[in-house]
Amino acid sequence: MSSTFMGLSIATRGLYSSQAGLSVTSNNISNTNTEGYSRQTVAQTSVSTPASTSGGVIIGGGSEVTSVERIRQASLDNQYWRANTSLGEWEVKADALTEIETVFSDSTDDGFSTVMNDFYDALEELSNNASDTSVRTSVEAAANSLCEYLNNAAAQLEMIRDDLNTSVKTTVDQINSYAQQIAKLNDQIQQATAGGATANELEDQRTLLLDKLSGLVDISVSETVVGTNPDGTVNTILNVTVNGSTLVSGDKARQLECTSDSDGLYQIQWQDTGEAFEPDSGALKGYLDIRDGAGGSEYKGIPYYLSQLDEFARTFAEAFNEGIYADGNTYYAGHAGGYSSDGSTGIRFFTYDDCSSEDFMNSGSDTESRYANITAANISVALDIQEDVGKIAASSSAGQADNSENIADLIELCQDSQMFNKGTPEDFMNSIISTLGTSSSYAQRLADNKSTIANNIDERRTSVSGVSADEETANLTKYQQAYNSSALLVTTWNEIYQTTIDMVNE
Amino acid sequence: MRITNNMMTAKAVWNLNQNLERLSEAQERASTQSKIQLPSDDPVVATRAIKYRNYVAKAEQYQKNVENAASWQEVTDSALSDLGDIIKRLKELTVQASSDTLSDSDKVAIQEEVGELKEQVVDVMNTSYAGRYIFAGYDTDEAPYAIESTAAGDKVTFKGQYLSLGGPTSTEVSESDFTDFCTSNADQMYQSEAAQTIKYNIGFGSQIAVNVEGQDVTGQGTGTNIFDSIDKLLLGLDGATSYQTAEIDNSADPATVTVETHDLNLDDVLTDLDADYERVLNARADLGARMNYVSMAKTRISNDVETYTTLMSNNEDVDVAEASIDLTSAEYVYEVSLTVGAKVIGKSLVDFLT
Repeated sequence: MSSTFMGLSIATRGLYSSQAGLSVTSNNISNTNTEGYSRQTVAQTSVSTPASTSGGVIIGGGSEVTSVERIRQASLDNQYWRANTSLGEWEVKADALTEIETVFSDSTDDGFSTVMNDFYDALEELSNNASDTSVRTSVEAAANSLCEYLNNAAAQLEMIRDDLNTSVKTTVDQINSYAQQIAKLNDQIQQATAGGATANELEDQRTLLLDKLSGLVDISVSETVVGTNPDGTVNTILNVTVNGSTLVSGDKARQLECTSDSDGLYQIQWQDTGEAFEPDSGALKGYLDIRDGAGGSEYKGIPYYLSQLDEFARTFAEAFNEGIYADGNTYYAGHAGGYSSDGSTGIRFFTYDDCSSEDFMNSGSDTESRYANITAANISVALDIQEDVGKIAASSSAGQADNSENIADLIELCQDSQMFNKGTPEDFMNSIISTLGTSSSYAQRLADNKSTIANNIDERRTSVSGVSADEETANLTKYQQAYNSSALLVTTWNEIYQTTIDMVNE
Repeated sequence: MRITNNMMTAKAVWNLNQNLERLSEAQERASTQSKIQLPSDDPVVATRAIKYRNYVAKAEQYQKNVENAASWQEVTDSALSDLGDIIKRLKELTVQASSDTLSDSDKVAIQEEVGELKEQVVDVMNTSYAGRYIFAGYDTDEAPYAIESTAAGDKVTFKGQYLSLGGPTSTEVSESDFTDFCTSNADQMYQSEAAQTIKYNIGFGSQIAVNVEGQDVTGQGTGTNIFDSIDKLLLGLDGATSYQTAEIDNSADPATVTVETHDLNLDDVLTDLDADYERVLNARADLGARMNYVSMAKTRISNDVETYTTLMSNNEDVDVAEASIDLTSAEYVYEVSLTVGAKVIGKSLVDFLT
């Protein structure tokens, strides 16, 4: 025999279930555009305890909501983090290399071709007209532009390196902050689930933080079982490791710190152990590669391009001044072997930091040590020549106004493919630009590629977890109708009870 | 696959971005008329661009050089032609002077003209082009030839040295005075030196000597230069029948000077002038050959300029038609994606439930 008010009880349960469905649907709809939100669904079951037995037939006791579930596919998250790490690295590289390219860009009027060709043209004019002071002045001016081009390029590269250095620090700070936030969320989730509650929103927030962290460094995320919750589910804690070392373990986060080296560049280490930290991938790796990559077995970053520019400046200066090529052999007398208008000789055309030819000669004990002082950042025209263009050694012997044999030699030298082991000055610069262009376009292609992959995975995640307005609207209608029907049930049972009561009253 | 509204929005935005990026690239290409903005757009084009720009700049410079060389040579040629005319006139005057029927006043007139012609030779040989004395070898900043009055008569100097120190001198100058003059100036005797060739680069790896050196035209050393011939003619017109020359050996200090006296005969002067004329003709012929080379080089280098400019342009300039078609199509695609996006975004079941 069933309880008298069983019907009302079933109808009420229906109202509650529908109400829960309506609430979850409302929550979903209002979170449609919330970043990282996973849609939730109501897990609804029929009540298992029989409401009544009628002649051996069991009649159900209505419905109940057992939990509100977060719809999420963990494997997709893992895939996304992996893709996002590569994307972070290549995006940074592509951006930084594009910035470096603008330094070497030749399409502008003050690009390498222009300054170099202007210098050659001025030399040609001087060779045709060695006695003309105005032509000498234009040689000095063109050489100055060439030096300034190199100075400028080196300065810009150093500026980009400084920016990247700042980015390294910012990224490390972000990693630390994310690690702390994740540890805090771990703690909150742990407490909530231990108390039997769900922590869907907190988990969403944690996943979002992991998404962001994965762009910065290569993370691997695992969960460890630590016990059983009151509702019987397993209790786990979440660990994040970076490069094999633990970053977050449960409610504890380890921190990274930056120390400045002698060049003012940040080196990263673990705060607690002092062990050096080297990421395998991610944006941080991208910054470090471009900032520190010296070529060879390392990535070709700013130090590589700077050293190439330095080699260009040094070799060109040595060849022009001394007639010594990159292979160390002497092929011409160079500028130092010629004679200026006033008959002086031994003047070095290119020096560094605007110093005079004499200071330059005193700056080292031998040719090698003197030229080691010249870099792209400091190469300049010798002070002697800046002050008196007559000091340009056009002549091959003293006191001959229109003897330009030495300039003719210098012109030949500039076109000599032996100057740099790899070729003429243009060839050498070309090899730098083509290396840069190729690695930049490679980085851009990879960044595009990785972005497509990450987008794809993210789309699949959204497909699983995202809120669909159509679906929620349909659910809204569904739960509303269910609610209406349950309400109608209450009315019906009410009438039935009324009838019964009236029957008793009679 | 389950599709959510945000997926639709994100996709529409992503597509719009892609199309906008294409549009922006097409616009940049069209407005800069350049295929590449950065080396990574096409590393091959970028590196070839540097080569071609270098070739074009060089070829253009060679073109300027060739023009300059041609002008220099033309000025030289016209000077040499003037010099030839002067020598021809000197020969005519010598023939006239040899005639017995000449009156004294005629002789004076001829003598005056010869004197002037001597100065003209110096002027012609001091011809300058763009402020540079073309016959002076490397010392283009100073007029190479000058006439100096000395104890032994008017002597011509070349770059500050006596072209013919012991050249024909009047017998009116005593032998001891002449010897003294030669001894004291022995260190200022013009000695032939290494060639001072001014060369212009007029093509890839091709050079041309533009100048003719004065001593090769006027001659040097006693008895083998134009001024000695004129001096003899002047002495002859003065009525002299002999002249003296000195042979100077300045290897010892003081120099040893041997003075010799020669008979003066106008027929011999004519022979000397023939030799002088011959020297000028030879210089002109040599210059003419080089001028031919320069005019060939001119044609060749202007072809080079055209070729390399075309190559440079093909390499880095956009095809205008292609660029504008690209631009139009990118614009069209962007507009279409905007229209489609506007239709898709913001539609959901809500719009149809009442």
